[in-house]
Amino acid sequence: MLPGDGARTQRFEAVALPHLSAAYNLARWICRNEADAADIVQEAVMRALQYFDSYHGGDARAWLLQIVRNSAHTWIGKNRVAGRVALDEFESDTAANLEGRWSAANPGPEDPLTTVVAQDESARLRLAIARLPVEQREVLILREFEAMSYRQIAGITGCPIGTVMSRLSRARDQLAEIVRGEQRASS
Amino acid sequence: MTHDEVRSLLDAYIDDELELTTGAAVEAHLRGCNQCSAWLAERRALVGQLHVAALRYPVPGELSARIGATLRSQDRRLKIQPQWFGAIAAGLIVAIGGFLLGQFWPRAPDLRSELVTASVRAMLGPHAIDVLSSDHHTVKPWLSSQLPFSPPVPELAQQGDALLGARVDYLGSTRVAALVYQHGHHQINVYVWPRGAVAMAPSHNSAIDGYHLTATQAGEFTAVMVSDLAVGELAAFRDRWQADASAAMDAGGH
Repeated sequence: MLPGDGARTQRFEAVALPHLSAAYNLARWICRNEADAADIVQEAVMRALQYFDSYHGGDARAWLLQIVRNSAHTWIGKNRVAGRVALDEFESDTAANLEGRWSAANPGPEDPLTTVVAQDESARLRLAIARLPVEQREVLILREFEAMSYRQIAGITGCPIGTVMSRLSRARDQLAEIVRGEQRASS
Repeated sequence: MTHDEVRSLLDAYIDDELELTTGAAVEAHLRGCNQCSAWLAERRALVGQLHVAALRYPVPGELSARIGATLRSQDRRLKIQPQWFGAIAAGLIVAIGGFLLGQFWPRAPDLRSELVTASVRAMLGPHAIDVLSSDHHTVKPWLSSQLPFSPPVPELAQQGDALLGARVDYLGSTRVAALVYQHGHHQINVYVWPRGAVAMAPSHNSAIDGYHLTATQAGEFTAVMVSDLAVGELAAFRDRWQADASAAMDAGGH
């Protein structure tokens, strides 16, 4: 039951749906698996529609992402309670992919990981980001993939700008570590 | 600015998040510090790599379709309204006929099942409550802003019925107020409209699909309570609600 008319839904679609891809990317990176990310986004969009009357213009992407982020964290909380802590579909997927690619390209017995790493740096980065603590991961995603300002990220994650800054720095430190490790390994 | 201070600001510097003067101080340091310049170059390369690595996940087509369908179904509920005019008109004619025949309950079964259906659907869906507040000073103005009338909004917390909030609902093509109360484990939907806007006889109890309905009048308003509460409890709630709403209206309204 909507307290309005079809025009309200249309207005909502015009405001929110352009940011669906940012919404999904954030949910996907926070929860690290496809099926749950889809559920989180669907739920968040419905919740956004419900609260659409409280949206008074302004940064629609930040508004939607904040709702998505909260839904994703609720999801994390539920899974923790249910004892299904981060069964990382992502990692097993990627490991299997890397394994498959390696055996296709390198039937020989030489160091598999180094070869794979050199071949597929972006898969390595992906894995490295997935392994960051979620607090750092969400800040990194919002900054690097959504190009959001520290202020916007602070609004979405509900923490001070200083915290956003230090989480982002720590996240980049860890990724830099991994990239440096690769370079050493491949040279 | 010390070397360590500059180092701690370099990420913000890359992201163009520093104040002009701070940025200038960082640049001044960078000109004289090879270590920081090298670190900055490496960091920029990393960030650049992240941007080109195509690490975003595209929205699955299935999800876009699913969300689109859900939104359209929200829309359709509203778009089919004109089709309800006939049903409502028929209901009204039957209702008037019922009165003329001296029957107590107007024969508008569509309306009663529609009330139950609306309650069930609202409770299951994401639209149970549009204004979430136990304070009638919040709920009443919100309803007034959405509707052409200002319904009574009794707060009955002291009698054990907590006001949860309200939404605007449709009965056919008529917009009505729906107040939501919590009584124990049960929710009660109270539909309110100006008397005569929708036909419904007062004080008649009725049951459909495990839900009970009862109706009352308060001032110029008709109110229908729908809940899975037991008949007796719902009638008691109705009387509490009616007493409070009438008292408030006698006092000149909240």
